[in-house]
Amino acid sequence: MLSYLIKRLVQVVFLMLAVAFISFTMFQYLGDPVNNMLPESATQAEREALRGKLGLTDPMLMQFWRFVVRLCHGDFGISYYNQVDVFHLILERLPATLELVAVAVVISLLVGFPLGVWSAISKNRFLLSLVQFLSLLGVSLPSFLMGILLIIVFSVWLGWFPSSGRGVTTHLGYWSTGLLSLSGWRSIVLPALSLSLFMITLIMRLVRSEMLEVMRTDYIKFAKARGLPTRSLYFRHALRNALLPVVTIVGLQIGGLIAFAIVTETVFQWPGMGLLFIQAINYVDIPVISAYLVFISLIFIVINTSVDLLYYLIDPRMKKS
Amino acid sequence: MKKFVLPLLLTCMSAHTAQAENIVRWAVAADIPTLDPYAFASTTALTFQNHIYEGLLQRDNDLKLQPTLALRWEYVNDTTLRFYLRQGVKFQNGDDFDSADVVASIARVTDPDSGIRANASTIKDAVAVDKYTVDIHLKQKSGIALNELSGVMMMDKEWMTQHNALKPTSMSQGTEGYATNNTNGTGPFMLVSRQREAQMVLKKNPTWWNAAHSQTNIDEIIFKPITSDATRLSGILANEYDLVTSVPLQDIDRLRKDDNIQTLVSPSLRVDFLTFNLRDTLNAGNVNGKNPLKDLRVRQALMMAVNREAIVQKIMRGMTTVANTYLAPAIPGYDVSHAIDLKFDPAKAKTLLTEAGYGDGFKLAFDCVEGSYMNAPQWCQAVQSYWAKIGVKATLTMHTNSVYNQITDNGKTDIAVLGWANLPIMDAYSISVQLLHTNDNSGFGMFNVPRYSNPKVDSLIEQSIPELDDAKRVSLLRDEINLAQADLPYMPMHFEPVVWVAGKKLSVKQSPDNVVRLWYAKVSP
Repeated sequence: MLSYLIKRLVQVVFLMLAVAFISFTMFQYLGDPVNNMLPESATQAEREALRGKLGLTDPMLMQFWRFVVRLCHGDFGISYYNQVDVFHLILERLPATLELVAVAVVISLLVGFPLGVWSAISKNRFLLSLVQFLSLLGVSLPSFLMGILLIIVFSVWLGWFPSSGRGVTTHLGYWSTGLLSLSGWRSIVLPALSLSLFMITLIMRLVRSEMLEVMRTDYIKFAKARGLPTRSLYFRHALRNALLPVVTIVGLQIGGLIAFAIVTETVFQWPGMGLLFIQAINYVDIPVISAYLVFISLIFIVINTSVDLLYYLIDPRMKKS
Repeated sequence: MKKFVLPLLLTCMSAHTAQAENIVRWAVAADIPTLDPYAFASTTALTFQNHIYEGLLQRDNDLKLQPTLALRWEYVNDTTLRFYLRQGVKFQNGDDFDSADVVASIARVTDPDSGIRANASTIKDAVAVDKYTVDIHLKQKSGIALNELSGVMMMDKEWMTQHNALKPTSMSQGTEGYATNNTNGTGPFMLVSRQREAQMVLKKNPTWWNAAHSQTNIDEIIFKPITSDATRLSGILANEYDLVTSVPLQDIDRLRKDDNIQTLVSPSLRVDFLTFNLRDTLNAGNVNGKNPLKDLRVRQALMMAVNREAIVQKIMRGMTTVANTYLAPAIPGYDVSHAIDLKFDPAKAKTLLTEAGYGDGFKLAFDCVEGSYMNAPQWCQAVQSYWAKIGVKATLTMHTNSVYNQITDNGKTDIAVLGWANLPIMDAYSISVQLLHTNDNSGFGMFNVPRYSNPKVDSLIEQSIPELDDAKRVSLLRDEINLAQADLPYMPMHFEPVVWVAGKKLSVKQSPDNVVRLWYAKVSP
């Protein structure tokens, strides 16, 4: 177990370096940040001087090396556009994204799981095909369209929820939370719903197909033959065995949601990391882009490692191997 | 516990909204990256900061320069401007405003790390004469020093010293500046809270020097950046905002039908241009060893081939007018009698091309940018198809802003898009020096993308710079621009429209410089 964690830790370092390296090779094609930083009337010499000061004229490997050295000192640099420390910038945006993703995941688990189990064991053909049809819609509707639809219905027509923003936030140390105020909750409903829609349908379809598979196995048949109560049959034996792939996918999805809530955050003007990332790309804000990518790869690794550890809890066979 | 928390929160929130009576919720497309008034030369940033900070002199609602923190000024000699400061002005933290603050501000704005240094290009330094008199020295004799100074907002020396912010934020040294997130101005509003990308709240400054004669009754401004066009539009329809200063043109017709809002549309100072590559070689390849664009008849033919009126009606939705001059009417030097007279006439265009020896047409590299100029991708496509009808095959490529700038900087294009508003100085000096003067890499012709060069034009510009008699100066610039217009290095398309949407209760004047001055706005009950 310990050796496994150490192995993972080494992987983390190499993966983050690899991600940073790839992003640095891409920066060469992103365009020039200097034009956005200087007024229109700046002279060519002033432009060159700024490029030199920012180290943009150095070869790519040199720039990458400087980034790694600074990273080791815990220094992410200053955002070209926002002109503040990049680490603070990400720290400031992180709570918004994590809260949004957490609420979205809770919604999708609360809705997706029961729906999946129900659709695996239900005999109601009409309802079943209706749910299957809706889930197909959920998987295929792009999230920006869903977001705009939600805004039109719930903020423009009904006026129940605000169309954008995070509402009133409370600061608890470094963490800013919107979950302590009514306006914060009202603001999070629409973006979380639009973000969770894909995951609800994904979980539902996955649970259903896994359940159906497990239900066909011999030990379920024997359990049935032994006369075990249906409840325990479905939930203790069938569901538990169907869980493993679901946990993997949900874990991967959470990482994806954190990294790529970009569309949802843009549509709802949610002040999270996705919005920051889009802005950084627009303004060729190299310090922000590189720090963000490294940070996201860290999140992915942490989540995947936790998923692997969860296997131990769910599947007793893992402990032996 | 839960039962107790919810009502408590509700009362907190309702108490918050009851405090201020006249609230203006103002939505824009992008947040202000920094609150430091010397950091970022964008019109939206300076517009917002101007609610907190003020200059020695400022433009009023009719775009006239008015004494603000200075009462009056005079030229002591050709390169020294003496300012007599208003007394009794206080910064929002209670500090007095005096000549030391002006000296510190001028030193800060002319610092090599200052982001708006080029907006104060003529200013050398400032020296205090006494507590309320200050001399500003100019680098050379210049007729636009006052225009430039109107964009320099005054900061508090004691406050900057206390927070180690006497120098602007330096990206290269990697230090975060205090003034990026904190403000202390003399202006009509003060910052209450800032949540990046979400909202900023300003409230009325009760100790504003002009409070007794204040023309506004606004108590609170909530500034909301909303990136997505669709979301901003939904917010307008759901009455979530009182003022929206970036509205997509295609939605205006729909918004006009809504009785709860007023739509304000007018042409701005910005003229959108196409540039003609006048270098010796064409990027798309020369014809018989020559660049056809160097022939004036070809440039005229290209302009006549485009139905700009149709583009204004269809693509700009009739919200503006065709531009036949390089300057907008509000800029001194505008001369309608010398407007370019090349109306849509494809047959004549074809004849001109044949006369010039290019009857079989030729190829052009056409580069257009997304997101910088209003509806540019659409009207670029329209121009491309008009040109195809007279046999000119332009290969159109669409770019993002950061990549596009590299292409125009390096001259890797034959036809490019460029918009010029002559802001913040609002003077023909800007377009003359940046676009029309020969590019000499020392500050002249920085944005002369065509690499246009006419010695007569250059000499008129250079004569106008040290001219202190405004009438003479403007007449020199007028002659110079008329000369350049006849040479046609740029093809003017139209004035970019300013489009705002406001709630019925807010009375706000839309000015062609697209600057919001809420200290002149009123909310009716």
